[in-house]
Amino acid sequence: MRLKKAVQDLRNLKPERVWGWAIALALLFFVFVPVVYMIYESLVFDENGPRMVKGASEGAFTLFNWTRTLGSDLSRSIFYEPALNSLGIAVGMTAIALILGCLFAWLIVRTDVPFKGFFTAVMIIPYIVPSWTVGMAWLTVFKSEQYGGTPGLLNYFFGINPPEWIIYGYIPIVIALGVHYVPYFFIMMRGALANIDSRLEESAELLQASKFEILMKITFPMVLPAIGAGFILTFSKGLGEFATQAFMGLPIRYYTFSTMIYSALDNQLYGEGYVLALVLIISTSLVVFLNQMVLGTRKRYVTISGKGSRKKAVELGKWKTPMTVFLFSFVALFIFAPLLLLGIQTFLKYEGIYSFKNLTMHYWIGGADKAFAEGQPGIFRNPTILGALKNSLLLAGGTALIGGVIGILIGYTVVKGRKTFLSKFIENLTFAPYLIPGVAFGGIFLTMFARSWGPLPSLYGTFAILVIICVVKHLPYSSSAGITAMHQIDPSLEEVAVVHGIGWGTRFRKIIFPLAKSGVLSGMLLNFITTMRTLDLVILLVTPKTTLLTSVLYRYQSQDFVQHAYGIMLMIIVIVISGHLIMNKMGGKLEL
Amino acid sequence: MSFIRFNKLVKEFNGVPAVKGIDLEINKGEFVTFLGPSGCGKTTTLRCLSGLELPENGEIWVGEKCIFSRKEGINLPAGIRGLGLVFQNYALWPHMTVEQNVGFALRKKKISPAEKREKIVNVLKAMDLCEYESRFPHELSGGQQQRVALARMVVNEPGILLFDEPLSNLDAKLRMKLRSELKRLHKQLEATSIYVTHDQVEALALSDKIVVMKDGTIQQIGTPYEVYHYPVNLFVADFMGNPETNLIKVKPAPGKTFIPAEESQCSFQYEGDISASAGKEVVLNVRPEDVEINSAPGGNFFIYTIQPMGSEVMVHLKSISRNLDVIVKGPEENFLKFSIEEKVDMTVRRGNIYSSESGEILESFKDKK
Repeated sequence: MRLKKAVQDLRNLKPERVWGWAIALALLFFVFVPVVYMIYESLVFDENGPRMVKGASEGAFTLFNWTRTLGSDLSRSIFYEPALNSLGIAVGMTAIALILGCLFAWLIVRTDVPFKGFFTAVMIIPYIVPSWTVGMAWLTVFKSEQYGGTPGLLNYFFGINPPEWIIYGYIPIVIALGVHYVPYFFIMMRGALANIDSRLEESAELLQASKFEILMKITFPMVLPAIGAGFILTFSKGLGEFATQAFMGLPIRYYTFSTMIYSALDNQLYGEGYVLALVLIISTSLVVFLNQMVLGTRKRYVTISGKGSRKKAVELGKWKTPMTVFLFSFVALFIFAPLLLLGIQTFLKYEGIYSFKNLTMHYWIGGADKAFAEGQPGIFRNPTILGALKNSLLLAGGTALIGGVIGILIGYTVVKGRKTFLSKFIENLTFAPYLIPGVAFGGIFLTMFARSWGPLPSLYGTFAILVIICVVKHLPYSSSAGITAMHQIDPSLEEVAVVHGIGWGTRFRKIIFPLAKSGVLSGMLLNFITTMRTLDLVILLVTPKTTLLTSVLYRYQSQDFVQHAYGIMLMIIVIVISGHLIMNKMGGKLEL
Repeated sequence: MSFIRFNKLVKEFNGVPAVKGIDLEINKGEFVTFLGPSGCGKTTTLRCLSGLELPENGEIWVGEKCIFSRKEGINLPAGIRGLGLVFQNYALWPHMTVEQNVGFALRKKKISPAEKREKIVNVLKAMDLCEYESRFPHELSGGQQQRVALARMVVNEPGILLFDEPLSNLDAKLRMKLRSELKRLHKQLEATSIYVTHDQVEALALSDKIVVMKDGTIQQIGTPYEVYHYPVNLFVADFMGNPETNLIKVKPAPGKTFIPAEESQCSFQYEGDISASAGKEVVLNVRPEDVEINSAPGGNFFIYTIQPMGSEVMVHLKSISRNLDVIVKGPEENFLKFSIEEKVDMTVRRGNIYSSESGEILESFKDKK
């Protein structure tokens, strides 16, 4: 009897609960244990302790790291200034992205500007390409002999020497990141605006409200939650941005939170690095939880029901031409020009000389020649770059695949087990990696997995650690794609199969997966793109055997081999855009 | 001998009881309807039987076999309980054609492809769907989609058919048509059928037996005739009937007279005999079609509105002081002679009397005709 009951119990055990708990435990191990470990490490002396404090022994409990970082003579330069810089960057870039993104979305969805299809198609590009694309192109334009060695475009043609604050630091960082996040708001607002039931606006029109009144009193309040959520998410991302700050800030010792964490960890000042990382995690969490409190649940889109009739486009009248010109200039200057410029740079034999005589294919296909880039062979003959290309493709593809599968499993568990503890637990847990900045995440993995954990061998230096960190860090995308896809499948579609005695393996393969395909593909696409261009997450973890395109790019850029750096940059861009197009063809859609 | 047996079935959702210890027996081949307002537990009971929900307590038996028992730790997986289920939204797999939808249900059967094909063709023919075989669900009308769902259910020849509000997504005309198809299907297959609905007309039209439910408990089990004409309590009385039935607080008086509790001057007559409720304050349930009205210049009621509904006419009466409303319904010739504001008297030909405290039935009365 007891045996029979045990067998029955086993039968009743739902598979989604089994993998649900497995994923939850894995997440706890790869997200929470690292954070706890980080807290612990911040409270003991690191290996530099004995050198810095008399009588200190490595591993002894201390508040030294905290007091040194937050309240000593050094604090101003290692904590307060970088923190303020990060805050300023986050505010600035979010403002630019919000204003331009919302304006463009409104123009394209609701007004009579021409070429809507074209604008919609290209507006996504800044988000797909690495965030530092505009930044690098910026450098090639504004660089001058005075700062940074070789002359830029302006300097070469007009002899202008722009001041340092235009070339490096706050202004270019904010502009580059702002442009990168414009598509984020654009896509979100386009969805929100298109979803508004036009009858709501028409009713106001019938009550003789003016166009402006309707925009401010009806339309705007309805999309406000979307704007608010977008603001918070972008802002919290901005706090932790790394690559652009590194490229545009480090040359003039302009530090931010993330670059400071990087340089601390890279110089093995672990205590200091972890204190900074923890403060950053706490700030990001505060921002996000504040948002949750203000806006209620984590709703990213206004859910406005109703089909609505065909919408009448708002006539722009005399504003039509200026607005169209404005859109075109944005697209030309910030989307196409940077790509073109970076491309041209790779064909210049000597940087900064823009003449036909100076053109060469050397940096793409040339062999090693001591005269150029200290003998680095051209990109397609360079084993380092080709190896990194292979690694990057493997990593991005693997992450997308694993992330997609885990995402769909999580989605299934969360949606099936609605209201159960496990469901809520996983849903919240998968969001946690979002709060940990990439550099800090990489840094803690570096320390934590330098040794073995139970049956888990030391992972440092392996390809696996890169896959794990990318899958875990990007889990918020994967799981939200999975959950959304599952929500769209009516439970009865699976229940019919249950009644017909079809096992869950078959149900998953033949019913759930085909129906969830397009949603999951979009999650995988986002995973692929994000992994392909990730730098902060992996910069501390790559070893000569596991170099990636981004880490090689970083090295070449800091060694001033710009042609190689820009060439690699173009490779990344070509790969992510192709990935985007292929996934589009297969029915995936980029959602944020 | 009953075929399906529910024994003290309890189902809770996060501690909130949805089904509160139901006992029910269903005979082989019967068409039984679970009827009640939304949230009464009818769908939940059906899903417990199908195996899609795991009950908290009780037992379910099919024939000689226990398919669920909390005490014994038995819970047969849905797939081997031998039943078919049709959902309100049809639940057709959108990425499969009609043929694939029906065929997918057969994949567990160990039969040759030729046999499979034959079964599919037969059932599609029976459902009049042959020409739509290779279409996708979204290329079909609502009625066709529902027929595909039925085909998919019966292709396995299940012994028990379960219907979860299968017609409520269809328009009125199609609903009537499919209703009669369903009734014929049941006759042909002779499968025990359980049908969940909140539409009393559907329940009356289809069932051998109606189970009226409220708040997770069974209120009444009976034939359509019993449930309609002799509802056991005020809830059932109120729930059954279209247009709404009349529930009036009255006191029976000598001379076959009812005196309304709130309107003592407005007394009216009844036919038949009552005994148990004489002299008490009770609730009278009288269906609109069981009231007779006569023109009377000094009458206690007046005509408030007259609404012709085709073959029948619905008349709304009010007492002179407007505190009492009565709905009357009948054939055209009886009512079209009246005009609005005309004073009338009314007589009740048939009705049920309920205790005003417990709401339970006390007695029924009926004219001798």
